[in-house]
Amino acid sequence: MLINTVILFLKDALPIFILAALLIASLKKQKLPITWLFKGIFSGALLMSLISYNIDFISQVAEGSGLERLFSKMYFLIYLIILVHFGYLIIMNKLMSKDKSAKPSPVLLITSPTILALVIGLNGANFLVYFTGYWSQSGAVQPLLLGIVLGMGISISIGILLYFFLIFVDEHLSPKLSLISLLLFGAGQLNQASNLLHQIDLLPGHNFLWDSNFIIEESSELGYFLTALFGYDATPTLVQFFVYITVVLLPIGTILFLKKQQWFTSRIEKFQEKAL
Amino acid sequence: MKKMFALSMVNKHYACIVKISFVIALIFKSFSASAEKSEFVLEIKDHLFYPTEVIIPVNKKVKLIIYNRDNTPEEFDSFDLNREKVIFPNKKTTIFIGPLPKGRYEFFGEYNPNSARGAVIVKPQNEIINPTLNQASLNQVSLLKSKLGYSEVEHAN
Repeated sequence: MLINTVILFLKDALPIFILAALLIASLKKQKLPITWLFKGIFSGALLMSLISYNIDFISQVAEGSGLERLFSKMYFLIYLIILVHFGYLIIMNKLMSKDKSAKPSPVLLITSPTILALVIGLNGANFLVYFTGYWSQSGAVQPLLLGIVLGMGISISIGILLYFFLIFVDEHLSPKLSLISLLLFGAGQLNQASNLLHQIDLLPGHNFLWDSNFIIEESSELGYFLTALFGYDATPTLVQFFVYITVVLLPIGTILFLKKQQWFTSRIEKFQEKAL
Repeated sequence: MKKMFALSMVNKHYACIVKISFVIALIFKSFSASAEKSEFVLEIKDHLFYPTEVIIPVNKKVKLIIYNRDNTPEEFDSFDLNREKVIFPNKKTTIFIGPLPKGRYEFFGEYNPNSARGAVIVKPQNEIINPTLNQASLNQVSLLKSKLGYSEVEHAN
């Protein structure tokens, strides 16, 4: 039970710690007060409790597809908020590089804790089902608690390593890695949503496009990490592949187009006028 | 005048978006309702799956109904099938799998991965020796289910 608890905890908690690392790294240039992190954790804990309290009821809604419907909507919402966050970060990073005294955007103060809260709520509720379901079994308390402590230690370590890696690459190689990673994380969340919609037959099912399990096994440690980081799927369907490519390339293409049209320059000027 | 023109343009775009969304929704609806799906039943009891192997036809989407007869939750998980679903104590749930090519697709209970294990075997229709069972007869022969190795329930609806 100990090993199983560690694995389950890692599976559900890793996305939270990876997201926290991505958000902190991407917000490094902004002078946001760190309170957003605590707000996110607190709201996430509330959301997690709310979902897990009603999870039995939700799961029976819509002929047993209630959880998939709710979770896929939440995944979609996470992607949308990440998109807004991504756009604002690009504008604000440009503004900050031109004007060091510029104030951080209040939008980022809302989007950052909201994304974190949604991811905690979603993944935490999943783990709570296991935790509460097996808590009352004889001899389960010790391995459950020990498993959580071990899982927490591993997740924190991975989060810290990822943060320093992103900071290093942002400073020395490409300043956009944490931003792109955040967008990929959002696309990964949307990939989870499409999986859930396939499961309840709301998306058409097709044969798998390929099977890359022989390169990176989805059930391996690296597989778990990559799934949490950018939604790695060893056996995607055509719909999933198409959705993933679209939700990654569309925002990047839009930004490149707007950059060409000098939209960002005019936007930054507006921000500066407002500040004055 | 300019305002009116802008408003009509917005309305046109809005109507266009609604039309496109409607068409997409219809396509998805037709996809999901296009074929009647065969139903297969799985049970979880004492942290074990019954039957341990479910045989389904090749290239067909099927409905898998899973009953959890235990007093603890279980999560049906399969990396091969890309499926993951929590089944609460003494409840049932439904998932759709396929269409799949011929092969063996492992699944397990994520909360008890050592004991709760099974596989979906995908075979061409002509290779499946399938005495179609209805729900009533399935209940009567529930003790034999694990020996049979497959169970298919086709509803007339």
